Amino acid sequence: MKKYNLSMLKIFKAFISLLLFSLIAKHAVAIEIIEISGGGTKQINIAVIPYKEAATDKGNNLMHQIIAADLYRSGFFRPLEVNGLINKPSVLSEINYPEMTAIEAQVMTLGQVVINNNRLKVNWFLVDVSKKTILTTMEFSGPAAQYRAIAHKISDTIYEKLTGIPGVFSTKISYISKNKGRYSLNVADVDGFNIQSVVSSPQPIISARWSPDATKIAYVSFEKKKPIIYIQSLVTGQRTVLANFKGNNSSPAWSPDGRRFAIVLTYNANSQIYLIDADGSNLKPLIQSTHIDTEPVWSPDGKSIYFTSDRGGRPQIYRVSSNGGEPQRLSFEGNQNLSPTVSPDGKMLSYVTQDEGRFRVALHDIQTGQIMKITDGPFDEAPKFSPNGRMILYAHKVKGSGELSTVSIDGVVHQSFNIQAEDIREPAWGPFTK
Amino acid sequence: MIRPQEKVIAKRSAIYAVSVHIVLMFIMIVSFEWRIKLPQVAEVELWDSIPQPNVKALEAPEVEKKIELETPKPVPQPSKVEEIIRSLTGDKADISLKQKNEEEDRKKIEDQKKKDDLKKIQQELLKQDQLAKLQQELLQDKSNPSLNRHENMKQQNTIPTEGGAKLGEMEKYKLLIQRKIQQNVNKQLCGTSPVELQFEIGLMPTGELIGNPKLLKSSGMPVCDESVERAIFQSQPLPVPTDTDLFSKFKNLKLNFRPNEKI
Repeated sequence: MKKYNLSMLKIFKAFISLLLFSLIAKHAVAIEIIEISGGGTKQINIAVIPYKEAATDKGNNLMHQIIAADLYRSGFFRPLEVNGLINKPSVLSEINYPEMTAIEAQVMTLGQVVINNNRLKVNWFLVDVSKKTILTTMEFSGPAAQYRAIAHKISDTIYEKLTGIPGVFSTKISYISKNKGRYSLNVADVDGFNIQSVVSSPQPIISARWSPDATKIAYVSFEKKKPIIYIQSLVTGQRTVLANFKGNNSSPAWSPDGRRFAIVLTYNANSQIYLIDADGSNLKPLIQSTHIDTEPVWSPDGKSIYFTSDRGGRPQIYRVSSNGGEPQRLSFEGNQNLSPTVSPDGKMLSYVTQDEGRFRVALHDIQTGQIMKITDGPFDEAPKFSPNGRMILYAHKVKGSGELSTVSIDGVVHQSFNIQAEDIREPAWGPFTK
Repeated sequence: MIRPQEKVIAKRSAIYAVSVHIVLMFIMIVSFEWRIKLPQVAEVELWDSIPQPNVKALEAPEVEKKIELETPKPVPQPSKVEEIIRSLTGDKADISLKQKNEEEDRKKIEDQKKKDDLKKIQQELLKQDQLAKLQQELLQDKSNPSLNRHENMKQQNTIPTEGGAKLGEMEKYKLLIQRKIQQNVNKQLCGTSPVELQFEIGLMPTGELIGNPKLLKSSGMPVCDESVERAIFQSQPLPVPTDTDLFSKFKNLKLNFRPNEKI
């Protein structure tokens, strides 16, 4: 009888355990799943807290202002208003997280700037406000004159940390200005500060292009009463003639390895594209036609050349192998399309498209053929990709005179440069420098 | 004749038997509640126009008759969005009838293809309108009187069973959470090729997160994972039901993200 009882108990226990197990198992799989497809282009809310530093000369931007302006221009960030904050921390222990959450900050940067014996030292932090964790902590130092350069370096670091994409705030741009009848090719920081003249002339200067190593600029000058292509070193200021052939010499385009150029000559009547070595030797035609072919640019892999041609009746964008061959038309929308430029990854084209009387900057996905107009015109010209491919620099007309602007490639953030000149045209964005 | 020893055993057996039955019954109740396939509301929902509160035509009996005589048409499956709209408007039956009436009138004028196209467009527009409205209301103010009105209407009219109501509510909050987080995701940080990532989150009844989201499946891109995680944080407080029973389903959630997939 006892034996019988025991086995009953065992069965009962086993039965209960089984039930409990099945209950737990059911609970374990009962977590609801929510599918979230797609997304937007939501910017990262960043609180750029004023770095603790001694007051500088009036009119000069402070470090946090330079950083906030850089990050804003990128289109990825929304720098928050921080002037009204009660607590402005410069070290981690001073952070008041509830206050940061209240202004909807997702990340924040804070730091201290010390200038001693003309040496600048910046201790700074990037903090994840939601998780209360440090994302980056660094110390940058250099000559005090490098104040803005160090601020740009901090912007680059923050940008790369949060987007995974290298920042371009330490790169340079070039543009051609006209003041009191004088043309000047200038180089400036990417925020329009620190302007330096490379060459100036009473005759027009056009088509400036950076060498892939950012040490030289090729441009076309009319100083000899005809367009001649020069290459000028930004380090020594020395310049050499690349092309001075019969007729017009224009539109220099460096090959990605910096050894060759595609240029445009009117050697045989019409504008035609030629290839030439960087030392001015070994000239040969790329394509020969009875049409106007101009504005060549190389694909980043060096295998193709994109250019503008009127072979279809109106200016359109074409592609040809850098070994020559039959060109292939790429642009079909709009009245005319011109001034192509290729993204650093080679996947996108940007060019000026004319439609309904307006000249606007368009982005063209080379693989899918999808086109997006990212500016409103009416007179936009010369788009150039930033070295990281996330922004486009272009010129446009405001009340008859040219200005420079950047636009994020999603077309969301536009920002103009505040450069004083009668007319500004033909910007170019310099490559990353090591 | 039962001997005293046997009496004790019988007593024990009886206790076991009763316990087993109690446990079994409990399990059955709980299991059934879980397993029940809640009735899908499958009425015809041809949203041809914005619901009008005053639908006099419905009172005319001949209209109803006509509807009965109508040949059955393909019934579009009600989507989640429609369910939510329905639960908020409370005019489900009225709308269906009104619409069928209109449908018939139109039938005389238009051909079938044209009709279908129009329907699609209108459905889409209505979905978007209603959803946007609903989201705004729920996200802005939970004590919004208009929302309460909707909820009351829903309780009175729309969903036939409590289980059904809960399912509708459940889907509604899931959709609201989905939308709120989605708008905070910056897909630019997740490359261009299809990626998938999964987070698990714990929620307080206020819709705030308990601790940090737990990454169960990475996209392979730390920047993308972090960006999605920030989107979850930024979406606090998440819209969660006030009903305690229903909230228990939202205490722990798994969020599957496909940032580069078109919606």
